[in-house]
Amino acid sequence: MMSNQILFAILLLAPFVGFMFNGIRWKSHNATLAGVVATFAVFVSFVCSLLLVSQLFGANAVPSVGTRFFEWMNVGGLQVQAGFVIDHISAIMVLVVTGVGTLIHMFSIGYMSHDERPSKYFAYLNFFLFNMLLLILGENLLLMFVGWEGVGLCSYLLIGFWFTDSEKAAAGMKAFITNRIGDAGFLLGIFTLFFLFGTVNFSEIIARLPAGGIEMGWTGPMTVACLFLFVGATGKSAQIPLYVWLPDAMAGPTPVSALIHAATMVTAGVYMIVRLNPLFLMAPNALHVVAVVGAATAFFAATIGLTQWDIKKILAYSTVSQLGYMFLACGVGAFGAGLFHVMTHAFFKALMFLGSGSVIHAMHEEQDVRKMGGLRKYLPITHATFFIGWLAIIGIPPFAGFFSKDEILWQTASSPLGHKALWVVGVLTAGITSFYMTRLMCLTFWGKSRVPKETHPHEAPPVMWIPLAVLAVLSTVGGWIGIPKVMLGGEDNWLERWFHHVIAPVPEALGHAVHSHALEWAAMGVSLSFAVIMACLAYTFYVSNPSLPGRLAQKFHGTYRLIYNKYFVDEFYFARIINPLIDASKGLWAYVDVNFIDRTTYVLGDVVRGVGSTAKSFQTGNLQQYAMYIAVGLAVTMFLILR
Amino acid sequence: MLLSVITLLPLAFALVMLVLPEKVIRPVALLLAVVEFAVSLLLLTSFDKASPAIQLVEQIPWVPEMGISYFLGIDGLSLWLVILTTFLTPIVVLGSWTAIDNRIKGFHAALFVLQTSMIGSFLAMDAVLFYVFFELSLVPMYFMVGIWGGQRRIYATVKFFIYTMAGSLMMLLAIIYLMFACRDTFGQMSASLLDFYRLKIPFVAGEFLNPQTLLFFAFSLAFAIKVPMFPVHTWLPDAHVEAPTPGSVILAGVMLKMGSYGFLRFVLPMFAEASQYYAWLFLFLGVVGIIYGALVAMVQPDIKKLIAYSSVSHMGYVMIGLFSLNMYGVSGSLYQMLNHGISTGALFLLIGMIYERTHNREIAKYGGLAKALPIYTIIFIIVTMSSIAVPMTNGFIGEFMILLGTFEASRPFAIAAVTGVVLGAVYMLWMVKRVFFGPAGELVRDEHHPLHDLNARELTVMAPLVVLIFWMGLNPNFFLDYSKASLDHFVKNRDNYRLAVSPAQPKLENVAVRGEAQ
Repeated sequence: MMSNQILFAILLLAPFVGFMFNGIRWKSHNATLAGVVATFAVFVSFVCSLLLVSQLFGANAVPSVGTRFFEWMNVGGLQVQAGFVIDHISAIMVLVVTGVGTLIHMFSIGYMSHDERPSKYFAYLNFFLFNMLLLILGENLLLMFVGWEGVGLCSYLLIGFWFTDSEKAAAGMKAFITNRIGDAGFLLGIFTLFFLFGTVNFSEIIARLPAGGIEMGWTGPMTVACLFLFVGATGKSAQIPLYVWLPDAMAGPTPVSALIHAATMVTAGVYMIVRLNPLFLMAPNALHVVAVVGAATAFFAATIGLTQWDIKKILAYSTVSQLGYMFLACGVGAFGAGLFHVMTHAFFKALMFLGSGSVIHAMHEEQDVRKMGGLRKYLPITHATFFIGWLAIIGIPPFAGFFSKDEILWQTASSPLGHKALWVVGVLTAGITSFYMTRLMCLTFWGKSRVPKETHPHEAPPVMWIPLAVLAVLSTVGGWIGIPKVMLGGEDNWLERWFHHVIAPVPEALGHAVHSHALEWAAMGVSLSFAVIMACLAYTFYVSNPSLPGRLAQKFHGTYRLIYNKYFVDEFYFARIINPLIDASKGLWAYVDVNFIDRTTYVLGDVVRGVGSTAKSFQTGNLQQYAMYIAVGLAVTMFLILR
Repeated sequence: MLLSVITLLPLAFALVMLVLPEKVIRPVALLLAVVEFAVSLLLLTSFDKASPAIQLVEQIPWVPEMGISYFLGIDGLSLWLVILTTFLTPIVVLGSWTAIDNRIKGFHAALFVLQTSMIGSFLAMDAVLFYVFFELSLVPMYFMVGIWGGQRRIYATVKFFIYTMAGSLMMLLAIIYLMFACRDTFGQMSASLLDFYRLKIPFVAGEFLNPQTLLFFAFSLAFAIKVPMFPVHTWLPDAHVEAPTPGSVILAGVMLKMGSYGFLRFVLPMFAEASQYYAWLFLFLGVVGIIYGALVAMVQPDIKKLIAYSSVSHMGYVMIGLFSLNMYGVSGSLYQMLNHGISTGALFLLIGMIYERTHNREIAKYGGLAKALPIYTIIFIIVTMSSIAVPMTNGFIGEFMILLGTFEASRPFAIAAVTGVVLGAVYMLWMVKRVFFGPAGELVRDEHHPLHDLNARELTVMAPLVVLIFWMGLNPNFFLDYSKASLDHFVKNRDNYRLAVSPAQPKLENVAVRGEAQ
């Protein structure tokens, strides 16, 4: 056990040491040293995670490994340990985060080589990883919350990394504040659970769930707790109505977008729900909300993705949309599928973000896809890897995205918590995804080159393309652990066996799942062929017949404008919430503080002064007057006594 | 002896200041303040943290006829507040090294008198003695703002003085009433808090004109003004803006806590029924304070005023924690008092440092400071994180416990209070964005006066604060353990609150005194 404690300590502290190392020498311009140290730190964490996770395998497999370092807080009934645990759920996350994290750190060495402050960048990146590990490995809600806010802080710092640009600083602030709205909900969720179960520890909460006590209404404590927690998830994982920060977060350096805003941090909300899956299964109404919000977000974000011109913005909306799929999975009780998609998405989306980074790097910081095209020629490796990412995200077998997305869609259709309408939305979204991703491929890599003459795109150095290649491999094979039952002849796949103990099945009381191989094959066929058709359509639009999209946009001018401007959600928030709040605050200050309270006190002051001067006039120093006061006083007293 | 030494040593220091030549005042003052801090740390070794009793008691009859005595004692409620005071004083001395450049003799003398009065307020176990210290603190603060303050300092001092005095007078009347009530109940007058706790003061729910309700409101008004609670907070922004940096640090860091401490020591245990009955009112005003303070802070054009209003918001948290009347809330409030002393003190120091460089505090004239002053920025952002209660800083522990306690006491109020978590981030980060990020602003661009980053002295001033921010955030148990027994006793027995004296003393000389008097 002792050795596990040491492993956990190294696992957590390696990125922290990297953070300190680079933080202290933050002025240094030596990107290579900073980057190598930071990458190595994360790699150490990855190795430690592997060693710890390996104990969950084999003949002597244990259900979980954990350790406790010290007692963090102890007040009344609240005892919080600084304890960490790796079980079958956190194992997947920790490997993805440290593994993909290592690759992205490595990529950054090349990407940030010309930056003014590479050490500071790597310090932040390592600190982010430290917080992410706290979030994933913490054995209780409070430690998760520590990591949860910590990653938000790092995200804030990294989005605003080039802070001399006002817009980028504003994007960082927007991210932090929007996340804080979610965090407030998260806090309320923690409170509700604490007073319900008397603990904030995950395993204790799950152990204390009432057997068969499913809450059917809306106001039960577990439902309320789950809804509060989901508010937290909508903040961190960019779901409706709090998704607005994520597209702006693309202001940060591109590897940051890959690591934080695609592969790891934004999936924290999904992870939290999966972590607490037995609790959420007690609150089916909360799950319905999760599913509907997830499906709606998936669809809306995908439609916005159709019209954007900024390569990173397209990927950002795609991330929001894919996160929606993950919540849809959780909402229909397919937590395993949700986490599966977290993993495959981490592979292919990190791949595509890094690929876009490679493109942006090659294009000298140009992000507008209208100025690209035909880049396949100049960036063969980037194109090849991006191509695999594209196959994965649009769900072409046998690439990773196919398996996780198919699993989610089938569960949406078949689960007792699912619904046909949700399935339809899911399939439509898959089609739109296929369309806009193909559009991205066409505009960036295929077709005629629109690259300005003065730009000479060049392929990335090995330190940048090796991570791309590794991620491309993972995006290919990563899905094979979750091959659908129907393809395996009815046998459970590896993933299902892995999650067997930690992910609860949907309770019988909520209904029965549909079991029909024919239906499953049919559903798969529908969504796959729809995706392929949409991809071909996009190819015709943007390569074969490039004038067509413009004419369509002209024809459906209103709709296009609405979608292109992201449904004016930001504008709505500003006009209806933020600006009125600022005006109201100015009003409060001017009218309540300055005009009302202060005026009132001045009036009171005047009254006191008035009374004082009246009283003063009695004290004339005239003896006869005093004698009269005494006489009057005596008379009154006598009257009162003798009455 | 220890408590008297801690209380009165600064008074002696003040006299030393008056006889020393100007040249050596600063180093000597710093040395003496550090000595005082070191002496106060002895409390941690002599204090028995397992006992809820008041400890290290000293009692000397003062006006025996009226049961007034020089009565000092310490328990888990006051321990950290005393140490906070002694901790902040050397920081303030070092922090005002260059900011205060005239009449430094008088300034340091005033500072030490202020220190005595603040420590005395926290240690006094006799109501009259408490009142004396409580009022005494006004005098040096009055001079500090009035002499070393900004342009509208006279307006601000008068407002500050009158507000506080108005409240204190009510409290004085209430104290006198309680002393007579002691005579009626126990046959002898007493101003000892221990006797006040034993009084049974009649309470009629729902009616205003009964002794407990009136006394409750009399004390509450005095302390609420000091805290300050919405709507009696308007003296604070003016006082802060006009006060010199050290004055602001002491004012926000310690003096406001005299108000919240007053609730903890007097109002909640003495008027248990009234405070239970009217808890909703204070929860309500506290929540209004949190939100109102945050909103008004958000639109302030002056950095210092912004921080001043953030104090209103933060102290709103302290109040709802206290009136949640459970272990989580009250512990959180006590913790938040310390946090606020550290983080707001640090913010005022930082603002003072930049003000010394630019002589301007208007947010709109800044911008891009992060590039010009990177070290300053790092420290400012760390303190900001503490102020907005990001985990791993002290602020989180306090805010979390307060909200947890409030949630147990009243969910609607907790849900309303949680909005403060968001608004706090809004006003602080918006300010940080405008001051530190973006292109260089008017004051930062100024070619003739290039700004210099923090020097060694300024770093020395900030370092202990930054260390505490993380220490209190990462290992709260160290601090909570000293207060746990007292807080537990407080929460469980508030309806019938008694404080034992440790080591046990023969009960009051008053018995003998009374024999003589008759």
